[in-house]
Amino acid sequence: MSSAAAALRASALRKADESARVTRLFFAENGERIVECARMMAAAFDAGGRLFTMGNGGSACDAEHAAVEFVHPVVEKRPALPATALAHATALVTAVGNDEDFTLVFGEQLRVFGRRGDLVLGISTSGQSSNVNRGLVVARELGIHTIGLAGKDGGRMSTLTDFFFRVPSFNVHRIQEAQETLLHVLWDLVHVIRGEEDVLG
Amino acid sequence: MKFVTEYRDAASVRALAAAIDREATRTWTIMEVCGGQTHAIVRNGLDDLVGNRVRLLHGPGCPVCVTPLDVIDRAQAIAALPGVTLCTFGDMMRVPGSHSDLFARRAAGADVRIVYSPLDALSLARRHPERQVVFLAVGFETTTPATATAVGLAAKGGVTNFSLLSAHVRTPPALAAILDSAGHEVRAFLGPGHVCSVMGAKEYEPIASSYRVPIVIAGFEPLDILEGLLRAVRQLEAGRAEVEVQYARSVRPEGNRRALAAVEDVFEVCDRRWRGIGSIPKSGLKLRYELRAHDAERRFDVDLAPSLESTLCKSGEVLRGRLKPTECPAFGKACTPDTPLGATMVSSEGACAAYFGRGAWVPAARLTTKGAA
Repeated sequence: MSSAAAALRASALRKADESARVTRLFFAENGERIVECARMMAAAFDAGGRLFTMGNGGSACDAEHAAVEFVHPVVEKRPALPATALAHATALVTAVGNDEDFTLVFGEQLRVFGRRGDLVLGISTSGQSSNVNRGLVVARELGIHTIGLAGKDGGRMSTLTDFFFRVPSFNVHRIQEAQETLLHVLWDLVHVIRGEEDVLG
Repeated sequence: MKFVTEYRDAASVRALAAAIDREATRTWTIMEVCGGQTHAIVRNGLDDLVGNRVRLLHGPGCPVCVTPLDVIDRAQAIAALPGVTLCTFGDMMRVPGSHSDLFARRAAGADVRIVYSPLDALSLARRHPERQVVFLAVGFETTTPATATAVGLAAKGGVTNFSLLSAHVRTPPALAAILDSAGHEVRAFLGPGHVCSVMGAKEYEPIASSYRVPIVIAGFEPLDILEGLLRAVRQLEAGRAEVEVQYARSVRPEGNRRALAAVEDVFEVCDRRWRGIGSIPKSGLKLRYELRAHDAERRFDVDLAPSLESTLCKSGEVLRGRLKPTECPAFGKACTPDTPLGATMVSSEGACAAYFGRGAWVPAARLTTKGAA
């Protein structure tokens, strides 16, 4: 292997190691709260609640991913649960953003579609995304359970949620990687708590 | 002068410098964040005093210096509109825009006023309901509460002719951005004492622990700075990375809750371009949507030509600690306080102005025993 290729390989391995380290540290610090959160989510689904997810950019992708996991389960026989990502309605997001303000794109949708007992999951690497935080504020007003995922210093999000999870990193990629793992784990635990078999390890 | 003289005591300062020399086992590179600290360091020769063991880098803590060029151009364009009075702090008057500065605009007939507080601008708006009064809001967390108070009072009092052009910035994202930049050499920070008097020190804790850098929140007198440096060196030598408050006579860990609440009511976080540095995510503050009636950027539709930065100006590298002012080819030649190319030569917190003030521009060959030739 040439020295340039070796350097790139070493860089890739360093990043993979760092990603694993950050994710392990995050789960070690938050394990109990993750289980509590999953219990809360399971109870909400049992009572007929629905999940709304919010995020921008990469976090919008993660929000859609989370919604898809619940609606279209990867494990056969696990039931579909109602979930939707609020950034996927492009026409609605651009209408509110253009006519009013981009900070309102999620909150305004929750006012129309959300009900007491539903769940809202806000994803942001900084915890400072105004539209996500406003959505969480609106959710609280409506009696919707709130979950926040952030990184860095957590921003404002920590004060706006029933459950708040901060990935201990300032690297956007490492934060997103840990958040993705959390989303998978939460989905899995919700089903296990609701009586499904723990088949995923 | 009580509470000032003690903090300038030469014997105490020399004792702290000796302690740094004794306890440091190598040269540590430390960045002081605040421009006020830069000026105190340069004015008092503290960088030379500790130079054996501490290499000081000057940080981006000069809000005038980092105000984006397009905001300066927009302020000038708004000031030129009929019926508008633009109010600003004094050190913004000479900051070069793409083509001009606010002093020149005033000379050309624009109504531009220097104020000492945003509340002065609000009073002006109340006294002159026939004019549109715009306050150019520049500053870190230290000055944001006063701006927030002015906007809050305007909103409650129905002062509809008062609006804000906000270029307020937040310091923690700037520190993270510096630590994220390739090739940085920062091993510890002297944190900004007055900023933390408002915001507290807690927001820096995740930065210290994630990046493994000590952050010592220090004051602005020579003793504050030397003690701050000593504490940072002690942490570095011990392999610790914590937030410490040296400036305890002003900073509480939780900050000033009332000031923070005032800011929270009026502003929300946004991305912000820093002049010379680039965009730093979530590093700015803009008016909340509910207060959009007081947002000058929405109120005044001005045509702006693309912003043009001087190709000679190296302010950006100075602000990131990559270049000392004296290493800039234009320093003391094309760029002086009378003919500034960039904001760092204009502002009272700018590193270039600090170096110029201590005569750093005078070539050594011109200095004689009787003084500069």
